[in-house]
Amino acid sequence: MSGVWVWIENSNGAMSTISREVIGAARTVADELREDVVAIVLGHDVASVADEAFDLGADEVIGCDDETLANFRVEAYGPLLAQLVQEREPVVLLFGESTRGSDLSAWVAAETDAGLVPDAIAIEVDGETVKATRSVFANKLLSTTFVKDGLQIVTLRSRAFPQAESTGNSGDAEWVDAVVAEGDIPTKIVGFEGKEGTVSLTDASIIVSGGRGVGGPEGFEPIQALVDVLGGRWALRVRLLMRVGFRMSTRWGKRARLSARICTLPVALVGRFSTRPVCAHRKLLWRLTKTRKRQFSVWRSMGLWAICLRFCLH
Amino acid sequence: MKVVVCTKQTPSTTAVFSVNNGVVSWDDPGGKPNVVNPWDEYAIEEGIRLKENHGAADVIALSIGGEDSKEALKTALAMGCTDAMLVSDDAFAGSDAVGNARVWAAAINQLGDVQIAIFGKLTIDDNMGAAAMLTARKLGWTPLTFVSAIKEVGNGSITVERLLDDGKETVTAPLPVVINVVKEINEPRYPSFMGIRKANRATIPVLTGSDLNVDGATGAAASKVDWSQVFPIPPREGSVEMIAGDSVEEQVEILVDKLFEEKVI
Ligand SMILES: Cc1cc2nc3c(=O)[nH]c(=O)nc-3n(C[C@H](O)[C@H](O)[C@H](O)COP(=O)(O)OP(=O)(O)OC[C@H]3O[C@@H](n4cnc5c(N)ncnc54)[C@H](O)[C@@H]3O)c2cc1C
Ligand SMILES: Nc1ncnc2c1ncn2[C@@H]1O[C@H](COP(=O)(O)O)[C@@H](O)[C@H]1O
Repeated sequence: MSGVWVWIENSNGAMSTISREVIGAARTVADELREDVVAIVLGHDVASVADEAFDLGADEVIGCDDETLANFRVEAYGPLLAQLVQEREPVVLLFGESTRGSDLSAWVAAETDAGLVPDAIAIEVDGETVKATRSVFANKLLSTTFVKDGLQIVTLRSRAFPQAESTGNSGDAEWVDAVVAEGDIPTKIVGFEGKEGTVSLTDASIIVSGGRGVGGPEGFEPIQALVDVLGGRWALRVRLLMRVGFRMSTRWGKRARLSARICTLPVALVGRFSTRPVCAHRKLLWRLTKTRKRQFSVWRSMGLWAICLRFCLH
Repeated sequence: MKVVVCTKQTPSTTAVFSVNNGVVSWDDPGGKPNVVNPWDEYAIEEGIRLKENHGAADVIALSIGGEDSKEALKTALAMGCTDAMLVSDDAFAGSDAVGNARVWAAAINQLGDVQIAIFGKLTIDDNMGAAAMLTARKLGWTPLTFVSAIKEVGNGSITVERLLDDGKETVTAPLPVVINVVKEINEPRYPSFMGIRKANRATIPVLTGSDLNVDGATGAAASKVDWSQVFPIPPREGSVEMIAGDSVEEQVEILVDKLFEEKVI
């Protein structure tokens, strides 16, 4: 067994931020294990991604450039990566814990019967073993988790590891063939609605947030000023839930769902509490009558309306 | 068409945990230390909706665990699942996620004619989020993860919307499939009064290893992963420095200098 492998997530010829972080972590692990970092670059038109992997510190790149890999489908990527792993037996296989990384890591773990340690927030090398710190039990406890035997598959939480820095290195990737033909891939992508133009909270290095504690619209002014100074953009404005005779609960389960129902009511009040009045009564009407039609009886709706009006006229 | 919903009894999210010599215990000030894994409520609801809107004949809640897991199954029945089944065998105790997937696959195969197996996004105790994909591979079925809407089921195929990091993807796949659902998919219903009565009277069948044809090793000895070291989050250390100055302007100046010094900005 040899090599610390890193799956390089990419789309439209660009490496994802999380993969830059994973290469950085792989370098540290590989140095301690005295192994090479091998970047796995799968996709279509990915030569530039392979170059970037070398630049970020990969010693080797194994790539596959194929039309079937243009959009990520785990049935195309999984068998190829599992086959490479079975043939070449890396010591460690690292992924970013993105939606795709989570899918692909589990696929490979199942196919190769390997130990899987997802969502590490820190890692250290102890002898030949990568020991991961994971958050468990509703994020209230931590666990040191590791694979005892064989291939160690670990996925790393986004933003928990620093990105690899440019080394100026270059190299020649080894290109292999895809193993699944288009006709044998059961899943067909029939639509995609991207999040372009929106702000990705997972990619943000600084998140400024304000909540109910700021008291009202004027309380948001310093927050806005800070956002301006930092050159940030508004990512989302979550409506503020005020006490309308109910206790807002952040807990999961029944009470959280109870408040989720009640949330529809204060939505109309968003204009009073958020920085920008975005919501007219029409929206409340729509919310109550359209979305909630099945849950609110006429009497209950009228009751809610009464509370609402009192609040708005107040 | 049969639908299986996998659900686990987990500690409540408001539970207070303690660790003694690596053994985790918990209690809940609200008096309900264990609940249906919160993510599974969405899976159960979606299973019931497949019956109501897409003609599924049976919606079977399945749990792998000790006797206390029957509580989670009873909640699933009270919400509207038609049947429930518990798989419980000391021989499975301590399995890692891949080992557990072998048990799920065997149990789902045992039920016969299952077209859709639904999992929650993750369990809040082990925080894995891998069960659906692992089980799909062990069954040889198509995995569809992070499902935020089931758009169509019929003619041997299913169309779903998946919520990915960078957008929403709509995909079509042939049945049978294993899906896991995110919370955007629905709003779980409350158990009805009649449902609770029915669930309380229900006898939940318990299957053991000898009833199942589990392909591969399970249990602690076969587990490739060690998660035995669990510990409380260490308290954060830090110090507070009050910035003194005669005017706000002066305080701001000192603060900005410090932020530059510390390379915060
Ligand atoms: C904190 C934590 C972290 C984890 N991290 C990982 C990880 O990183 N990688 C990984 O692969 N796995 C990990 N796992 C394990 C994995 O996710 C499986 O889900 C796990 O093995 C299931 O264990 P359990 O604690 O739910 O059940 P267990 O208590 O291990 O029970 C499993 C089986 O044993 C049987 N059983 C248990 N108790 C009884 C009883 N009293 N009577 C009869 N039968 C019984 C049940 O039939 C059940 O099917 C982790 C688990 C935990 C709790
Ligand atoms: N012991 C169990 N019995 C039944 N279903 C389970 C069990 N553990 C996990 N699941 C299902 O698998 C999903 C994801 O679990 P995990 O991969 O362990 O985080 C959960 O939301 C459940 O639907």
